[in-house]
Amino acid sequence: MSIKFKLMLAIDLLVLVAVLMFGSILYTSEKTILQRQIRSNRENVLQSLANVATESLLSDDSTLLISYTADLKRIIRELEVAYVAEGRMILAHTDKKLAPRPLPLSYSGQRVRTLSDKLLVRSKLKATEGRNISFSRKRVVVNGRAYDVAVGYSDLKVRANIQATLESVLVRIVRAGLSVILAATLLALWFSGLMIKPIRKLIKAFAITGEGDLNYRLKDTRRRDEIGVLNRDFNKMVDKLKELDQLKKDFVSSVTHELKSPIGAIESYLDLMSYEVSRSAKDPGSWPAKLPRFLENISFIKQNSNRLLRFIADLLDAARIEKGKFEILKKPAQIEPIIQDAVKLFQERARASGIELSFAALTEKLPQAHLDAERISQVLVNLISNALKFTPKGGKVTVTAERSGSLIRVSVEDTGIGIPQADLGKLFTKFYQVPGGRNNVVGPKGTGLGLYIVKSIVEAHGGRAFAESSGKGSRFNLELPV
Amino acid sequence: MKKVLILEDEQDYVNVLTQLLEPEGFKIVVANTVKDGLNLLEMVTPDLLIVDWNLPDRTGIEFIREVRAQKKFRNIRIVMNSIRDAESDQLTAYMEHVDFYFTKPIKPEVFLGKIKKILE
Repeated sequence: MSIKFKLMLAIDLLVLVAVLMFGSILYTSEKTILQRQIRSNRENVLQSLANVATESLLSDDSTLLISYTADLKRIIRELEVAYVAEGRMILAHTDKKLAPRPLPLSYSGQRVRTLSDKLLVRSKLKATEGRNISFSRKRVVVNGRAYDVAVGYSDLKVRANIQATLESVLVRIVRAGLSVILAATLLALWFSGLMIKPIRKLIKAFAITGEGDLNYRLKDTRRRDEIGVLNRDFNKMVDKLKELDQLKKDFVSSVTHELKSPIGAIESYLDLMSYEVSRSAKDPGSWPAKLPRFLENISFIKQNSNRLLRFIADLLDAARIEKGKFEILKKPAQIEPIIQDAVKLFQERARASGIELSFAALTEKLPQAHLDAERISQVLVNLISNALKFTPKGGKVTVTAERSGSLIRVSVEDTGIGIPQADLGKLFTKFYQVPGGRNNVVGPKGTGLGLYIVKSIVEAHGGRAFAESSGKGSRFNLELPV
Repeated sequence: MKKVLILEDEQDYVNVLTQLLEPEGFKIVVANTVKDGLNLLEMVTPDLLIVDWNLPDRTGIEFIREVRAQKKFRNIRIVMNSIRDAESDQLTAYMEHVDFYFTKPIKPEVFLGKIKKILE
């Protein structure tokens, strides 16, 4: 069942309940009002009969009273019987035959005195076929004599009258209720359509994005309701997806480059060397002069195959970290010699690039720590090589180590291009490379795995790795527990 | 003596190209970035440019476009030497009027033969 239909149904049900409630309240109040009205009408009729009786008794003219009483039944439909009596003497009666004569009936109109009266009343009762009659009575006193005034109504007729009135009320209520429900249905259709429209748009957006088009965005982002939030979040999600997609593309291109580049270089050297060899075959005398170049090329080939091996080792490390199978072997060790060795490894490259690379222990005697020396060395090699890569000629790379409470802090600081604040946190994520950062590097660009491995190694030691940058150069810190 | 400007940021390819071209009597000048390349171009006015595609600051294609836009460099021969081997990349390069597109790694005999032919 669609949301639109459900919404419509819910609105309709709600309106139906409201209509029923208001309808029943209206019906009961209408009924009460009707009953009250009948009662007061009866009082009025009784009162006017009493007035007419008083007047006619005062003027000693009974004709008015007799015709008035007889007419009552014609005028008021529910009225069954009315009479005015003095003691047992009937002065006026709706049935002209009964007046004036001695009262044959008790006040209730039931008890009978004489046989002829009995017959008369019985036929009377028969005529009304046992319909119950309720009486209202009043006593008036004229010239010191008391008279009884009474009007009797047929319960059945009264009830039928009430019933008929209430039925018409009910019809009116039902008619109004039905039109309200109809209006509510139309309104609900329009309203649920209005509510569903943005959801439909969202469904479409999801479908388009699901097909792989990451450029589709929802426009209705300024709404202040949940749909607005949903639209904004959807756009944010697609932005993020696009970012990830770009990251993936960058990764693929950097991995391809990182694989192709050294292999291409090795092949180029080999092609060059075999070309030289074939040329030397024609001119054997030139061979000794070419030999040093040859040896140099072999060392370049070696460098490239090392670069390839390092890259593969990085990929394997990353895969181990992913699987949670990355293990380190901690032993008590001094960190200072490890740092010195790593720095020494890069001295020549630093000199060649015109960068000053130095190490300083800021705390005199660094304590022993539980380390996997090989892995910590890997971390330092990574950080120093990064620092050299991003530092221009004439710059400085400074490695420091100090004790800070129960921690040893090692920092690698450079005077390179620095890192935007927004990227500092993401640096240690797998395959992340600062956008545009690669463009500042001459030679191998790296794969975005180095810092991810650095972080994992340091965390496996129970320490932490973080980067700082002031815009002018950056500083990578390792904190290892003593 | 013919002058060659190599625009290449990877030292290995610079080594290989130098070792191939120097014995053939070419004078080699090397630039690592597009910026350096444009500066050197003004100073040396080479006969041949060997341009890599992926460079640190900008692309080799952008470099070639700038060179081709200047009348005084009209006679310079340009070849591209890139690891990008897609046909679309080669097409892009030819649209910028490169004389030949080499994909890395180059074959020495073919490379030298082609270069000599282009400079004739």
